[in-house]
Amino acid sequence: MAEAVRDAPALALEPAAVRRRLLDVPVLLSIGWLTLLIGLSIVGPLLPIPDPNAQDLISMLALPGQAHWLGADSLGRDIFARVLYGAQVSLTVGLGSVGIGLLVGGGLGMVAGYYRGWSEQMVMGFMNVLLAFPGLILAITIVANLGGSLLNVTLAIGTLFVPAFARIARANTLVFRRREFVLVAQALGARDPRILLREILPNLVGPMLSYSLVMFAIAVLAEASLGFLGLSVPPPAPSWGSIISNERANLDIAPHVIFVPAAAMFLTVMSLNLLGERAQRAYDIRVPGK
Amino acid sequence: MRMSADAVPITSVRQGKQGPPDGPLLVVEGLCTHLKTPQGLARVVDQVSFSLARKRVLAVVGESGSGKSMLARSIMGLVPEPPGIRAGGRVLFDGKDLIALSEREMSRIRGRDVAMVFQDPMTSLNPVLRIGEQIAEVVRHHLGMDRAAARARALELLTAVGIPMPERRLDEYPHQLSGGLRQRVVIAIALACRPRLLIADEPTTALDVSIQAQILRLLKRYQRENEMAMIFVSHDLGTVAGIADDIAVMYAGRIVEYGPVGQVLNAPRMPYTEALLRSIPRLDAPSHGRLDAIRGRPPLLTALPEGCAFQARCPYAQPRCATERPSLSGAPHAFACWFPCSAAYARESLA
Amino acid sequence: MSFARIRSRLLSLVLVVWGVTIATFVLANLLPGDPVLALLGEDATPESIAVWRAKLGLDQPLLVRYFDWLLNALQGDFGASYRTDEKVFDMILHRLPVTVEILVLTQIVALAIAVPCGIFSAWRSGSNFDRATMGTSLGLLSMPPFLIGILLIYLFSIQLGLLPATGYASLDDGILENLQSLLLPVLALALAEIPVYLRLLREDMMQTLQQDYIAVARAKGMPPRRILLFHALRPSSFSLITVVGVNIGRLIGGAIIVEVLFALPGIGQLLIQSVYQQDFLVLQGIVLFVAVAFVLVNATVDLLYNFLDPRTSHG
Repeated sequence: MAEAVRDAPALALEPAAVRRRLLDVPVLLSIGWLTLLIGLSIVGPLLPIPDPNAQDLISMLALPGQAHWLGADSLGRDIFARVLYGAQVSLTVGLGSVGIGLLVGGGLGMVAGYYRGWSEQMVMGFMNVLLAFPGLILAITIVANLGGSLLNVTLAIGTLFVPAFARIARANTLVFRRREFVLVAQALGARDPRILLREILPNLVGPMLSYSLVMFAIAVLAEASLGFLGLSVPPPAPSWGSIISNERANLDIAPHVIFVPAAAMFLTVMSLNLLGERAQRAYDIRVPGK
Repeated sequence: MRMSADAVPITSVRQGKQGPPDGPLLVVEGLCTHLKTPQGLARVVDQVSFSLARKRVLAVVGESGSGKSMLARSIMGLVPEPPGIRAGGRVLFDGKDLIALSEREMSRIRGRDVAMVFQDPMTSLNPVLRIGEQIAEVVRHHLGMDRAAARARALELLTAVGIPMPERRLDEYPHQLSGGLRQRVVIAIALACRPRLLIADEPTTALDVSIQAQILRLLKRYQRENEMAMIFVSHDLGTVAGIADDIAVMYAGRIVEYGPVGQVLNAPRMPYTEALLRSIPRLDAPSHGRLDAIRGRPPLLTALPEGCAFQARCPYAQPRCATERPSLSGAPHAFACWFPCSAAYARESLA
Repeated sequence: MSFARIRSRLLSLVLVVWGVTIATFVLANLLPGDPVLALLGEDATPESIAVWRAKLGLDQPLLVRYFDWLLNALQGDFGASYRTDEKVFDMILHRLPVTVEILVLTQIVALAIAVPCGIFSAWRSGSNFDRATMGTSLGLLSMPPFLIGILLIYLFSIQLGLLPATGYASLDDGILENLQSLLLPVLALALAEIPVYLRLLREDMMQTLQQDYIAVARAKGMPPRRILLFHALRPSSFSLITVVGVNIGRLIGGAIIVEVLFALPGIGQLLIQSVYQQDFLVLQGIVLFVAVAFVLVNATVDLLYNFLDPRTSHG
């Protein structure tokens, strides 16, 4: 490229410009939707909405209306309520599995990257074995053996995430441990746990959190897929995937029953993906092979 | 070592309208190239005009950011757009305006009539293609040679640029060659179709000093034997002194001094040129003496001052320099300064 | 590649596969839940439970069971289904062709669309085409394969009545019928994978196009088509190959889903059925088979990559 550009003085962005570039319409909409979703999930039980499991066979497959704001499913259950409780499931699973990934995977990856040698071999070897299983198959097997429940689904997807987080934690740790501030701390006689906690961990937070957003999206998709296969929370508890699976047969006569949870899922995952990618770009991370 | 002209047939006649046979090969008139940057519009090439006769070597020198590389790319039409913009002027090659050509027509001229050698040999070659292939494709595309003839030509070229064991090198990959050898390959590629003009953008900067000399000798020899015109871009005055016929000194996107190399280097008129010459460390200067650097920094190309671009750093600056911009004038030695250096500046050697 | 490197790669391969067998066994056996009770039901008598436990070898200590199972598996004997008594291995082989056909067709379709679009997007990055492509990719990535499948069914089966919603026609029934029955499932899966490939290729190509050697190729007067397809695609294709290999893991998961959605008799459907029926030997066998196959495929892709990319294979 032109020398002129290479030698151009370093870009000094005024705060306003940064804000303009980071907070454009898609980002705002995403944050808006997620806030709405989280808000509704939390206050849901307090709202004057029908019980998601209450069957009202008279209103079977009803279209959106007074009694059922977004319609009713094949057993007359209120779709709005079911989708809302399904959101609770998705968000809880997402949060839990990402948490497991971050703590276990991130922790192991950080240790592996810092200490190298034997512990690195062991940790990464274990991760490689986990990675040998195609994702969904691992999740299915765990849930199949433990039984379907919110906790088990979270554990299953969390286990799936551990190698992914371990990899990125390790990659970033490898970068930072060579940096001067770490070398200085070591020279000053600081002990390893302190270095890990005070020097390396803070630098990992940015990349790891933005990665977490994208993984949250993947968790929601995974839970939906498991739900579709009937392997998420046991019926009659609603999950977005299981709602769609149950109502599949009515696609021709009452598509709204499927489109509502589908739209909720789509908007949620899209928002998470968008925010996650913007955040990743802000930290300029390179993900080692998703 | 001559390149045997009868070894491989060269098919078509050179295209394009032939300008008068004794007219200049290249005439650049008021060439302007702008670059869109976050800080504004940068005039990286600002009203540059010069002409180059056949078989002559023009050196274009200046600091980093002076616009010399962009000038080279502008002539070749290789300015990335965006963020670059071709903002005006003409580049007449053999009477034909290159700026007015379509991309397609221009690509027929590139590599064939006008060729370019880039600065960094480590990144100029495609790492996943064999050397022979990278040379052969030029002659296959422009001259219509078949595979066997192209391969023979590639071999011929590798030999001509002085690469040992050329038959083996044909099938090797770039990472198997050293920097100096790679640059020879890059030159071989550029010379493959016997271009009438070679633009060399700092071809020796990234090389060891000893290799630099070899590459310079190679270029010089080829240029003389094949009567090729050459534009040699460099920031190193010492390098160009031995090879150039004419020299153009660039500053902040403009040519500030121009003329035969002997005149310009022995009697510079523009204070910037004088300062450049003075900043070259001399072998016979007392050791531990201070190096004469030009104080200050080049101006921002997005915020050029009204008057002379150099006046902030010029030791001879007067009030007029800040308000009125001097234009390039004088022949054959042209300069752009209201108060040029009058004393002849004698130099013994520019090694 | 040097002999020593091949040897160490093989060693780690063997270790991983061994680890996979352990993990599979652990996952299937160490967890709560009694397969015999599930099989016989709640009111089974203690005697019949004991009989069945012995029959299924569940009274043996864990380590013995593991090695027993492993040795059998190495000889191709994955045990038999609790319910139907069919040999697991035979069941897998019987359904393998369907899944393999889905996977292969999906890769072909996905690449056929992703590669040209990715190249063009990289070349004309920032253009309307590029922005539309990126937007669509983000959208598709935000939908699980079953949702894409359902939308396709809604559009093509229900609204337009063009294609069957479920059902499988094997090759014996004619190649056209076969392809027709697979069209929607393959399309659904492919649409889920296209964004992955497209974004990767676009990113890689954009970086490649910035390289000096591309500017040199332009300076040589090479036409854009040659530069894109020959000079730029080559270096970028290597990371694409790697991703195509690793992505098979995602694809397998997707295949399970579309097999269930479109009622296709592949390994995925078998897997889910064995889960519903709590037929743990079948589950174990399938998981082992798929995991080992996945490891081998990845190793092969790795080898291929090293062989093809001159930067790694030479000096």
